[in-house]
Amino acid sequence: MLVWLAWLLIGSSLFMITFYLNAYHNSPVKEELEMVEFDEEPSVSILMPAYNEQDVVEGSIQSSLDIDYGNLEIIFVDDGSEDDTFSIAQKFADEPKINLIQHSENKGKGEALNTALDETDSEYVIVQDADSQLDGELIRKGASEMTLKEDVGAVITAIRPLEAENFVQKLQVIEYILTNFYRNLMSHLNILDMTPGAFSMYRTSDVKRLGGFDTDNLTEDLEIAWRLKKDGKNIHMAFHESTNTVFPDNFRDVYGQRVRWARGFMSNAYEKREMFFNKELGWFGRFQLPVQIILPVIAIIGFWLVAVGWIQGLFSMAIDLSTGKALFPSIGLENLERTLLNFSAVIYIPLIASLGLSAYELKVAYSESDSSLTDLLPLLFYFAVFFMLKGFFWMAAILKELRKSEKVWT
Amino acid sequence: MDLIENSIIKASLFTLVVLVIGLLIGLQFDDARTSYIDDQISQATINTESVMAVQNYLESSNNYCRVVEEEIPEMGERNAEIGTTLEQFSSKGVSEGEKYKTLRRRYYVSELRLYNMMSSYRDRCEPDMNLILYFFSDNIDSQRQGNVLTEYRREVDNSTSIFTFNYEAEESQVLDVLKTDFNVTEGPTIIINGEEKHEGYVPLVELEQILGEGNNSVSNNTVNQTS
Repeated sequence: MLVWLAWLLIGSSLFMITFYLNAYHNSPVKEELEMVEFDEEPSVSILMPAYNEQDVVEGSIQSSLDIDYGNLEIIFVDDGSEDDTFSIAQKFADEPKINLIQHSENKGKGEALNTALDETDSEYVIVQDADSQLDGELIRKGASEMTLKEDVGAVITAIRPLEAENFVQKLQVIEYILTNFYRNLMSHLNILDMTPGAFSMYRTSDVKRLGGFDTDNLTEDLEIAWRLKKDGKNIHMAFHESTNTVFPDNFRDVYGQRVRWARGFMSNAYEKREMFFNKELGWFGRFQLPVQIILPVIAIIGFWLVAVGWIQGLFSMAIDLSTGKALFPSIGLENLERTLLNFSAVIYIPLIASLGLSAYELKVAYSESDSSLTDLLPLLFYFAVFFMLKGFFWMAAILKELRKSEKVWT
Repeated sequence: MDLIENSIIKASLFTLVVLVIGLLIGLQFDDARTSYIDDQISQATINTESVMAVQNYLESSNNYCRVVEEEIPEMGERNAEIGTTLEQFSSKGVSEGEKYKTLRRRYYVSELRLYNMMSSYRDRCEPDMNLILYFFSDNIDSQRQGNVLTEYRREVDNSTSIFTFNYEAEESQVLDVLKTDFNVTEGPTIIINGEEKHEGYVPLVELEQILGEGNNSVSNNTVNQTS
């Protein structure tokens, strides 16, 4: 039984890595998005919801105001913050480009975005978290992509950290380098299923036609992305542009964030279940969405396989200690043949192949991101433990959904 | 063929090939493991039969004890090693389940023959030598008892010979006879020198006491004198 579960885990991992590596070697991932020479730049509004973001709001608004794009407005919505978020934002009240709105009470991110959406007639809207900062020619590239390609409904960027000082943030840097790499490939394959809250640019008419953002959703960014896909639109990625955002700096916040994402995914998957295996949605319905369901299952199996292995190992060690047995017996060199025959080739050969490909994929992802691997310890922890934590996050999310726990926007 | 279809087919084929290679090599390892144990049992059997032949030849000679003395510790150690290897390997196999059943039966036959030979040697040459029959199951106490017996042999008295039997093993006439003869109903159970039965876990200190006192002590566990 354990051998078959290990095979399922390793086989799934091998399949996904090979799938994306094949796509990488056969698609023009290095190309930049095409640029249009506009006679008059299209109008763009940044929708900036904020809730208790007093530490980052000033930098975020200032960063948006500094963007070199003429036809830009910023609609800032304070969603009933209990801290000084709104009073800090009011420092910018005299700026002609900015429109400050305050909710009297916290209504959730979807409501805050819809409030901002109602205020704009711009051709394109950008959803940007208050803790995110944009850079470069991103807006022109997004507008160009959607001007040139009628089927593109949203443009996203790579996500990078504003700072990565501690161990938890360095772990997420590794994760996002891989995530950005995957998302870029998904973009080229037209199966990208996500418009992150940190930065996403939409055609305003599409979002308004689809009824705006879902107001009762933990992951309204995922929800609108799936509605766009259902509407026949594609989501493209400006891989070489990045949005800098604040990464959680402790495991407790990472837990809260990931459990929210997982719960959002589950409720969206249930509400939009007719999209799964839907041939009308092409590979998005037949491949991408089913894979998104299978991956958490694999993560949970992986969590239990590793956890059971650890528990058994620790248990055996405790038994050995209690009976006075030597903890570190000879390594078996006196009988090399017997030691070699103990090798579980059925599991370890596919596992070694999978780890080798993972290492190669990581190298490619770092190279494409123009990043270099500096810290080995977070990398080892990421591969040895973090994937287990993902399984744990999913189980926690399932439990919270089953208990119908309160939905909290963090 | 579009890129997604192409990637799915290539990824499926690659995954299948890697898993099949792992399986094929694993099957080769299975085969090598059973061959290894088979060879070890054959060698142990030949060694036992050699000593028994010497025993018959030197029936009335005082040279028997001197000739056989040097062989005994190594034979006991090798026997224990085969038992450990058999249990380790049988838990790793993806096939060969029936083969391991046969190997276990052969091993138990070999063990009983060795036990008989050593009992005879003990009676004739070295009355202080201890022979322990150890019946184990798949439970924590058996794991602890196995550790205690190994430690006892390693640290206290390496002349002690331990004969291990998986209480839950199937289709072994030898095992069935021993279980009936000593009325063994669970693992762990140890039988010391064919006389004293201890059911349940016996800690190292207690085992030292039992064996150190010339097999005459009474443990806190259930102790039955076998007939």
